[in-house]
Amino acid sequence: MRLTGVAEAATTGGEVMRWGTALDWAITLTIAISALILVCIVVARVVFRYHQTEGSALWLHLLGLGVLPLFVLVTGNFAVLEYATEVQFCGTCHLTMKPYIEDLHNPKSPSLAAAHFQNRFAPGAECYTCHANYGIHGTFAAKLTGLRHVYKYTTRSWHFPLKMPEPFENTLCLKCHNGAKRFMAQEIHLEGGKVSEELRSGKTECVSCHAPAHDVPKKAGSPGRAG
Amino acid sequence: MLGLSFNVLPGLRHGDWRSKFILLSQVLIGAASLLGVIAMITKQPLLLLGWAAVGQGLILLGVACFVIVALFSQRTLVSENFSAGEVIFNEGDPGRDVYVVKSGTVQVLMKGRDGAQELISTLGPGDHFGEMALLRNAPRNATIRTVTPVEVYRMSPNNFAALYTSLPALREHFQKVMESRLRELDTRRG
Repeated sequence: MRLTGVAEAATTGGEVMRWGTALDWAITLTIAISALILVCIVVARVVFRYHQTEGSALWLHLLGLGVLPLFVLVTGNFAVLEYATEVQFCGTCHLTMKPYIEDLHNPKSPSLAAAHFQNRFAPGAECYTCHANYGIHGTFAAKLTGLRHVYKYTTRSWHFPLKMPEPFENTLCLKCHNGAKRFMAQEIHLEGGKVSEELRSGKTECVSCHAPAHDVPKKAGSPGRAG
Repeated sequence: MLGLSFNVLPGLRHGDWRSKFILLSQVLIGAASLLGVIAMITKQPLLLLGWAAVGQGLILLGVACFVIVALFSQRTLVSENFSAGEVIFNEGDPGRDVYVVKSGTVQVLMKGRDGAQELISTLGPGDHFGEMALLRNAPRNATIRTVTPVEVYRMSPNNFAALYTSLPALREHFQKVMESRLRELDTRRG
């Protein structure tokens, strides 16, 4: 009974332990500031009905139409970009992503994705963490790819099986695993104490030994290349 | 450089272009804010991306509308300085700005039958000039020359028109002044 409980807990993605992440704040602030803007607009329309460009009204407009909207742009952008890195965001494209999300939660799945998700290696942001490349270039490319996915999903122009546009780069694995104790303990990964050239250059893909990346029905995606 | 402050704004009514810009700004930013609230509460990806793509555009457009109004509103009264003996404008010039003397003295000069300039009157602090050309839609009918160093407030035709149409007491005052000046002009021309 207890073991079942542990298995369930490990596959649900974990409960929220405490409110107060940057995303929580960004969403709350965006809602609060947007509501404040709406209040300013309504008050201006009611109180300064025929005097929209007079002294006091302009101060209210300065707040509601000048300062607060600029704040909401910052908090809103942050919230959208941050929320777009979460597994539940990817999972909302349920027609295509459902098998992948089910795989993440499947305690018997042999896939790398499930192992990463169930071990909470990147809590709540596993899809993004593995599929976005290094640095700002990687983030930017991931956002563009995400927009393309949304377009394809919305216009129903996607096709099964889903395939990655290009092979999954080893650097996407190495950005976390390079230098990790368990990774460095395996001599097959190394060459002169460093990551081997084979792995660096991508001549040998990580998933060629550690497959499957996702354990999904063939209709949904080809193992090792799906995502 | 940008004039005085918001407090010198005339009481513009809802027909003025600035009021319409403010309304446009309110509609754009209000719609984007509403979309933002709904998107953030529901966390629907399409709504969130819609807000990020369209909502932000609406907000920027709305802020731009407000900034335009704020910039032009601040130019309602522009302070200008002239040295003694300078001409502010000449008789026959095109021009529709209205001036209010803040400090100093100016002369109102008009060409006589012989072509020489005759002194019509002298204006000091609180007096105004330039409204005749605007209200009659005609060129300047007199030359204004400073006697001492002068500071004037220049008001654009739109702002003057807004004041003129929305403040009955002011309109009455200007009508009286204009009638008096036209009578004086007719007397002079015989």
